[in-house]
Amino acid sequence: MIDKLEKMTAGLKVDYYDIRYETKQVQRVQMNKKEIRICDANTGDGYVLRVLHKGALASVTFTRPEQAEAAIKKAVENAEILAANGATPKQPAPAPVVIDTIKAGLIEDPRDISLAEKKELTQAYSDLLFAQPKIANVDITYADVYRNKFFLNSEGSKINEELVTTMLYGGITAQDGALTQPVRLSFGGSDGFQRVRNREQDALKQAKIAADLLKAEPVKAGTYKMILNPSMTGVFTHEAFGHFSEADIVRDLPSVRDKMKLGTKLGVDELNIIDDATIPNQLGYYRYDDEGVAVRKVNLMTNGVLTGRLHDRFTAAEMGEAISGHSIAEDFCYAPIVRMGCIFIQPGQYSLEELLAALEDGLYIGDPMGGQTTGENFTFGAQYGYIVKNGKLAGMIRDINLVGNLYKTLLSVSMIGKDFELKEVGGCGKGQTNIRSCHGGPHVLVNELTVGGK
Amino acid sequence: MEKLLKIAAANAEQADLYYTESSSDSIIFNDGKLEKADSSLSSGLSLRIIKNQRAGFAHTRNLLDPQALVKQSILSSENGVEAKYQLPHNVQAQEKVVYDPQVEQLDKNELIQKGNELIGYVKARTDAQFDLSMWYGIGKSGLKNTNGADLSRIGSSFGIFAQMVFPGTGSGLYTHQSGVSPCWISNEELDELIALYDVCQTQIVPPTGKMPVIFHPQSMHTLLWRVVEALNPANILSGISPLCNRQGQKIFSEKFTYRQNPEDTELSSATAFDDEGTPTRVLYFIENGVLKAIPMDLFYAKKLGKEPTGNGFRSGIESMPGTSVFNTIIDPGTKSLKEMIASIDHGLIVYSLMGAHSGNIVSGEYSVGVSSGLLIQNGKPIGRVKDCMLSGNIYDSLQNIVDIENVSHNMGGRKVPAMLLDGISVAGR
Repeated sequence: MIDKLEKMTAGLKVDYYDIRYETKQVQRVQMNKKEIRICDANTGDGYVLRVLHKGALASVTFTRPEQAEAAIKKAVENAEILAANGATPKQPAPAPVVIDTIKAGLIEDPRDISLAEKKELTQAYSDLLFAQPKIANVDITYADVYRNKFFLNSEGSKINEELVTTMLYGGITAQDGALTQPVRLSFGGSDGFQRVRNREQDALKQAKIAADLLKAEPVKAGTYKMILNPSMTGVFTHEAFGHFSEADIVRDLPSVRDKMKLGTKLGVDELNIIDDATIPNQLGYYRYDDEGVAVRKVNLMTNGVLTGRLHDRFTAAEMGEAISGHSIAEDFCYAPIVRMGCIFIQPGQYSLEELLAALEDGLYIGDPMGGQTTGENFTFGAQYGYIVKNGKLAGMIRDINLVGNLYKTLLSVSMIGKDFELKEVGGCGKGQTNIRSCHGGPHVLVNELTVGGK
Repeated sequence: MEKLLKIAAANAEQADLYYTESSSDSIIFNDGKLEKADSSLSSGLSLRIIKNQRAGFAHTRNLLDPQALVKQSILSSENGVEAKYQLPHNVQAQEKVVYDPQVEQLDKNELIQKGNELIGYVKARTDAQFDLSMWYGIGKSGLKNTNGADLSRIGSSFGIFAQMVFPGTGSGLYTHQSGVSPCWISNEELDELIALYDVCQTQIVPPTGKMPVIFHPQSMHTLLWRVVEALNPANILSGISPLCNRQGQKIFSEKFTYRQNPEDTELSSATAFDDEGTPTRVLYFIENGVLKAIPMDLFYAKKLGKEPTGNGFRSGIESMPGTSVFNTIIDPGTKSLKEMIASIDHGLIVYSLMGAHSGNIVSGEYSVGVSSGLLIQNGKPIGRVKDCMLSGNIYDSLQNIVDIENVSHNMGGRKVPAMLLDGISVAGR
């Protein structure tokens, strides 16, 4: 395939170009209320061309090889228009030339398993959950996504990397009269099909939470001291802090640029935040990004001080910082943008019991249910939680939405747990979806966060 | 494609073929500076076959081997989705005109120059960070089935979006225009935006309590999403929708009418047939507060024993048809937005909310942060609210409609007025 890309771009005389061709094979089984709604195996493919010409960078996506000539013309034209109209000149930061082929590291390859078996597995989870008390609905989806990426740039890099992602996720709804309570489940990862096998106990745990929520109290609005569970810690780290570590976001918001200067102390001394996509077997694993740069571990915050940022080659050059290999595209429909790989708060030294004892009275906040940020402010839903009294979990609470400010919260973290969990299914949407966006961390005690309610 | 449909017909009882071809362009200015000019060319097709009352599905971007694609769809049907319905027969439809050839003639250089003029106008009047983007394109799609349907449509679209960003955030105040033809933002709209932005220099944490809140058309999405989820036939069938078995009952304030009008060609999704070939129709979902109709595609119509309503749409070639509403309108009321603001002693107007997608959406619950909103005192906006959340349930909130704006604004795919709701829970200081 690489030689086809070379032929396609042979006549291209510009300062820099790269072209990526991908096939994306998706097998899906989706069930709603015991009913199969989707069951298919399909492949799509397409091209993304980026051209740096007269100092301007332009991209064109196309899906048919015979469109290549028109696409090249359009990309060059777009760059010329940008240059003629005074767009800020760009250049890629230097990066090593790479020639490499990376096969997906899989324990059990989902591509070897029949669609029929995947359907049976999905049905089995659905049936199991439906058999539980109070469960009124189960929507469950199995999917595996196999991206085979071929990357070529004008500097001589030629890379073929495979990414295989397996996932099983869904929603369980418990019902009692007019009251319904939803809970989610998600199993999967980057290292194979075994991730979605034998997870019945985990699924049952979620069904029980949904049923228990029917008896939970709606949380009272107010400001609380609280413990975030690892999965909520992950969402906070990703949504509230992580996006401000992405160089493209910081670059586009001049008022944030000053606040996020490297060397600034923003968090408490105990706080260390890392993005490390190189950790094997976690959801966010990859070797090279979609600019052909090897991803590296980045210490984003060290002892509360900003020490690193996530970059593509162009933002790194513009900000005079080191490349990090975080330029990622959803698939062949998109040019890459700066994305997190695997972001987490580094575990500290306390057990959950110690955190509870230190909390005394407050809240324990369980798994997230959607989150959104606008700049330094965030809102996160939680699927469930508990009131904590005298350091013990008391009654269950529902309808929880947290609202807060990033900078205040980073200074409000008071104890960091020693446990550690990473999420198994991703779906960060920043214009395009990154199904391998991984995040996590330990239990964390926060002195002050606001909960909305009635 | 003819060959593909023939092979499919020979191997299955029914089949349909859906294809798209589109081109699009975008221009992005960030903080007043030209940043990006990108393009996209995309095409593909998908095949649905029905065999032994099961549906199979396959799609491709590059049709190299029709035989293989049919085989793929048959494999899918063997494990697949129940399909006891008939694909539409001999559909005849005069397609709506949602195409303006001017969109194909647009000159990027000219658009950039016009964008620069607009930026100059704003920069002369405020120091705010000003972002501007434009996008436009042509989309063609078609549908053929083994029952004789052969339909096609072409559409054009143009959109422009201008935002003043609040320092330290990604949010701000914005205005936008979109439609089938090229459109633009007027200086009057920019003046209004600048004046509002000035009010936003004062930041206030509102007191906690129940108060009247105006949902600007830009934030109505949060409430409408919950209405649409409850109308979704999948949630009706599973029994978790609060609208289950409530047809004919009064659900919301009699001021609230929510309908779809496929004829309205100011909205770019106007169409005479859906992506399954079923003719579309005018539908009143909620008329004067009463639940009247549930939208349905072929699958759910069969499951629920009803007529399909022409609401089977696809989000692209990769997806099977599913039920969705389109060209929707909330009927306007009687007061202007200015009059609505003037009528409030103590309350809010909210432009953007965050967290619309979290929580128990089907049940109508919402609990959202206000990322862009103003506190109103004695009929006047006095500052931008911060650290503030709204929460409630649409089945309470939409009972308490005080006023609906006298204009339903074109928000792209739908027309929405501002709505003043009373007794909304606000969590602040």
